[in-house]
Amino acid sequence: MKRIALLLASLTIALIAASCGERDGAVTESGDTSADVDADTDAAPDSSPEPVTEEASTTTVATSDQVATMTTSPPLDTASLDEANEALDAIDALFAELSNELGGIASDLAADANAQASSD
Amino acid sequence: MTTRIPRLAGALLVGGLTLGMATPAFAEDTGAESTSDDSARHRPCERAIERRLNDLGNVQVRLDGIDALTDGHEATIDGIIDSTEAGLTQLALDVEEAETPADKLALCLTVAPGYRVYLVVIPQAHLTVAADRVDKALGVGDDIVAAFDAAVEAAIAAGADVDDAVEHRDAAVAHFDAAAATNAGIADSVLAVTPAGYNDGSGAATLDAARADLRSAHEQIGEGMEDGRDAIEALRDALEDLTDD
Repeated sequence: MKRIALLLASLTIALIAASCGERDGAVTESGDTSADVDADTDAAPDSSPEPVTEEASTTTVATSDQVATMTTSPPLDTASLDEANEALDAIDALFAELSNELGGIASDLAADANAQASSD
Repeated sequence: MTTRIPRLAGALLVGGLTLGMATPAFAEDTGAESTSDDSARHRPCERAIERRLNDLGNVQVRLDGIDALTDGHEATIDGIIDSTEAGLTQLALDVEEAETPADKLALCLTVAPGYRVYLVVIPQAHLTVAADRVDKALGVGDDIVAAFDAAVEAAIAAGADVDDAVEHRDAAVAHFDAAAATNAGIADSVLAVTPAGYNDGSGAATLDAARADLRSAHEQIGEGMEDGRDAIEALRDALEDLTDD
């Protein structure tokens, strides 16, 4: 009976010892895994999707606006604009001359009517 | 009652003719003043001639200050006026030297129909000047269109939408073209009229047609001018749109 008790006790000790050995191994394995994660984490600033996406998004939006601006409103050709406005300003003087001639024609026709009104 | 109306009408007619013959204008233009004195008889005739000579001189002075009148037309009008003045001056001498009242009266009765100063000669001057002014105005219109086209080209280069402006521009050109077509040949036809042609009716028709055409050309140019102003306003708006964007 005493032998049986000793045997059980030794088995228990053996089981406990075996159980503790597994835990140490797990820690070791876990340590390896952590090392891998640390390695990934070290690389994260360069390749992590999240911060990269934020930076890319900001850059993309700004670029799109610039592209849109380039497409609908090219830089104003101020030289051509000035040229067009100057040409229009010059026409004002011509209109004054044309208006003067129109007044002269009306005056001539009135003078003709006055002449006819004279006895002949 | 039925017989009174014709009598009344006849009385009114005679009275009207009497009043009409008594008006200064009639007496002045025909010399048909009722008097037995020879000098008094031909005095109105002299006044009629003098008035015409003075008015012809005034027209010549006016023509000298008109740039629109072409040299050729001015020479033609000067020739017509000079020959009319020469004829009236000779007529005044003939009236003065007429030996009988009947001769003087006959001469005086040619003052109006023989020269048609107020119905042909002076109108010829005014209508020809008007026709030349139409041509000059159309030349200015061409300058306006050319300057506007240059403005449109620059506006296109600047990126402006010029469709509306060009539409008004084309309408203005159409009016100017119509005026040019209407005015073509007016001066020559007017200058070809003679007092004799006026007296037979053909000259009067020519002058009346010229008046109508000149009024039409004047109106067309005015409308073209309005379209031109609209074109300029549209182009200015298009240029402002560029700077607003």
